[in-house]
Amino acid sequence: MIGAVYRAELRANRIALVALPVLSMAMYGGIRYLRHLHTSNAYSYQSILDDAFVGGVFLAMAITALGLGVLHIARDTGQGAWAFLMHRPATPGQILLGKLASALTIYFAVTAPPLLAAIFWAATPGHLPGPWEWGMALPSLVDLLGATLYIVTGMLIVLRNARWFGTRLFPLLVPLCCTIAMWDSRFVTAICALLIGWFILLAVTWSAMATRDRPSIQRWPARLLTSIALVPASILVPVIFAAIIAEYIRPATSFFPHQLTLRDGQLLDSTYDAQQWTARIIVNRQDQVLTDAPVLPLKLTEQRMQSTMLYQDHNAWSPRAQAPNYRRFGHYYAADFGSASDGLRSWYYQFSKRYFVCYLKPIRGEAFITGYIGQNGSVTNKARVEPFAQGSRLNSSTGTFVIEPQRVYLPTSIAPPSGPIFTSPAGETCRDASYLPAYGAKPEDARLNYVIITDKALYLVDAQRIPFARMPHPSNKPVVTVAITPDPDVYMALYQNENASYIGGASVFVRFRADGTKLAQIEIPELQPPLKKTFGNSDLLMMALFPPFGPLIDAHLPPGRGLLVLATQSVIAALGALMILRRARASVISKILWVIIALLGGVSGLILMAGTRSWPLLVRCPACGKPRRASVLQCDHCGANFPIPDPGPIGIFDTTREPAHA
Amino acid sequence: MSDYVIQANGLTRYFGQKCAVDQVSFRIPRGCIAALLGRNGSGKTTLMRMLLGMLEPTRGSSTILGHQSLAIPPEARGRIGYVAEGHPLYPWMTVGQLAAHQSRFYPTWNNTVYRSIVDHFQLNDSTRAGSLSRGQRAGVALALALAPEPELLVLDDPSLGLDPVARRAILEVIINVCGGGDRTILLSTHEMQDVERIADRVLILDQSQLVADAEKDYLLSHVQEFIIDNTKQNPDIRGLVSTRNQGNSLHLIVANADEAGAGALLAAGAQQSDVTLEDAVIAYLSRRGSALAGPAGQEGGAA
Repeated sequence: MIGAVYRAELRANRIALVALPVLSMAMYGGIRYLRHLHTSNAYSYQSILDDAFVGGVFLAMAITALGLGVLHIARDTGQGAWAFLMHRPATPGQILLGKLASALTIYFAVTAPPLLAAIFWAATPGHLPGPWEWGMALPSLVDLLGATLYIVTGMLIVLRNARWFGTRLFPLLVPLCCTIAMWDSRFVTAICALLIGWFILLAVTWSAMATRDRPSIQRWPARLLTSIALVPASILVPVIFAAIIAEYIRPATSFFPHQLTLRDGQLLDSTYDAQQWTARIIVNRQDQVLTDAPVLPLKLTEQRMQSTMLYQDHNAWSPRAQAPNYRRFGHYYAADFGSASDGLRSWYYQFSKRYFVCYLKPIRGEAFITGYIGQNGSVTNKARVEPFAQGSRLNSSTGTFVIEPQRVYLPTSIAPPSGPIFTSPAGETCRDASYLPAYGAKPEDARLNYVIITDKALYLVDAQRIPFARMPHPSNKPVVTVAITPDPDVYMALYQNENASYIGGASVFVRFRADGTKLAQIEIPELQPPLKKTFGNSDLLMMALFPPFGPLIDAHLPPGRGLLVLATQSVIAALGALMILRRARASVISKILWVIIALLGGVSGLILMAGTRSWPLLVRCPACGKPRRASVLQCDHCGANFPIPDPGPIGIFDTTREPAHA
Repeated sequence: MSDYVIQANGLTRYFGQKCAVDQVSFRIPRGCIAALLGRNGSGKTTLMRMLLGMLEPTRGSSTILGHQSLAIPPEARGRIGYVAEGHPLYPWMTVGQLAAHQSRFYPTWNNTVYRSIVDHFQLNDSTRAGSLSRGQRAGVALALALAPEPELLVLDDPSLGLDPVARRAILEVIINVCGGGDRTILLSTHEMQDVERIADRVLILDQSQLVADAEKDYLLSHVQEFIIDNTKQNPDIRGLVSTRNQGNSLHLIVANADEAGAGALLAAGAQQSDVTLEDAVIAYLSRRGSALAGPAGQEGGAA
């Protein structure tokens, strides 16, 4: 049976194979984009792990999958066509599986060849700079699998009885959520998200297929899963609209201004928001510090999220949030060495064991490396480094790539006591850190990229081979300076670890020219406390809709006001639920259960109830005139039965007519 | 097994506040050819879809081949042939491919039956369904429904939009293939000639309600026509179904006419005559809501 449906669907939808040349052309464009990257953007690098490339590939796959899902159901949605499809000795599940198998076959036929071709192209030496590992293909391959969720979503969208301009597209939020969960997560997490998404969508689609999306005859687990599939969009869409309107009415101050404010070389304020973290200070060629320094548009990465959460956890509902000196609270933050790694998938590193973590704990101007992960297996938490992004150059004459040594300059006060010493124009003695192999590193350390120095030790991070060496520090002075010079043409010599300045660690910014001369030094004595957040209308809305998560959404909401919002919306939601349930003549148990859910879940609980329960049709009672359930013979109010239609003396029946309620 | 292939008990279906089928109860015995008659929008298709489990009733229940309509197992579905309104087919398949495709689902597929029907319509196996005429498509749809040799055949207006030749061909197929056996047929149609020719039983749906459910002969024996000359005033008579002015005479269609009513009319000079099924059904279907809208027991009529 499944085979018959499969063959018929494959034949019916073979037109979708035209996506193959389209996707191949798109992939060719993506490859051209990758090759163009290095010349167009100094901070980009050529890799199939590039965010834009990976994102573009995924988008193309998702659109293809969605289209295939829609195509496989849409032609059968007419009343007669549906009857022709379903009225045969096969279960709806068999028919659905046949359609799914067909859609998956076409999907992989049109998406896999161009993707595999791109992967093999990237793996071929001479095409992209930097080392290649097959694990680097994993993100795209996982996307290839992840986009299959959109096939079943497309089917569900067409199967649902909803208006196209209403809620028909709501199931799209399920694969979108799964995509987000898979996007920047570990491999295992990505697979779990994929499986959960498939389970929900398949169950809901099957239920919609078997019942033609008639909730009244679906079993409650199916209705519950349908609600789960629809709730995210049911909440998000109104919230987006409401938030937009609310922001128009009274614009809320952003959480923190996300700029570095520099005055006379002093960092007066340093703040961040979720998407843009302060990362660097730039000076121009006239040695002037640029005020309103641009902020790198970095993507939120896992460890940053973690540090955000830590920050929020420490401050949420706490009077300490108002304290002027943030250093006392010992915030941890993640140090992400090498901003070029931003946006890459941590699970690639997990998979390839090419990662390490360094958590810094800045307390009173001191920085300690509190933990790291490396191939040696000492594990604390996650962070990652891009080991090969910088320093690679294409030798156009030979077509090969050369990984150039990175020069790291350190003041002699913190550098090891060997190697050439030179004096900067400022009079400070510096040492070229490319001689650091003298401290026990290996010859390959010519590729050394990162040096981390604390008051206890000096760490050499081999950008090509992640394990780093530890050696005694010749100086006992506390220093938190990380010096990196990836590009001699870029004046910026230092990367300040994001939010280090915000957290309050006294940092020293030292900038050098490419020739080793010191350009400037800024010491940041103490940071001002961040601006106090103004509570916005959209925050109130978010709290109202997500009561359990409200406190996390805004850490600075005064407890009293927040609780008031929570309590009010919960009571309103519970009253709404009770009113609806009374009107629907729900049982006492049902009333109690849903009122509790509405109390706990607020508006989202109410929406869950609306989706999970089947709602009776109410018609006017011919006897008492009040609304009564059409599905029940006896009136809830007057107890009268619906009168059996009687044609009277003109009716002709040769059998005894049985009453409808018999 | 029950002698009744189809049993409906109080089937009711609302679309929003509109009641499309109102507490319809009937039974169709095995081997019976039942015609479901009614005007457009009277609820015929809705009733059929509820019987086949394609639509859930708002109230009431039904069984088909002994199974609840909403839970017909695949095996039982294989014993029910169904031609939906509009004769839907896969347009990209040829006539031959349609047979090959459908035959994979049915263990009882009889290709001889399929071939004979397709040949009757002079169709080529290599013709794509999308390029068939409406009549040819109806023929293929009927062939696909009959080839599995179903116990029950449900035909939703199979002759809708067909020319007289195609309609005749469809009718011949039904008579030839189904006649004489114990196959049950539920047929919805507007063609009274077809009904007169093949139906054993007639069900009339009017404005979502069942107003007649009887053997064809029983129905005809209970409907009479009275013609009164030189009058245009409707008489007050029980069981009046419809009235029609023709020249100077008034034609009355009366159902279940009792002796008193008929006697009064005859005494007033009316002439009594039998009616054809077509006249009777049209009389029922040309009524307007006043009769059914009134309380139970109120006299119906078009007056």
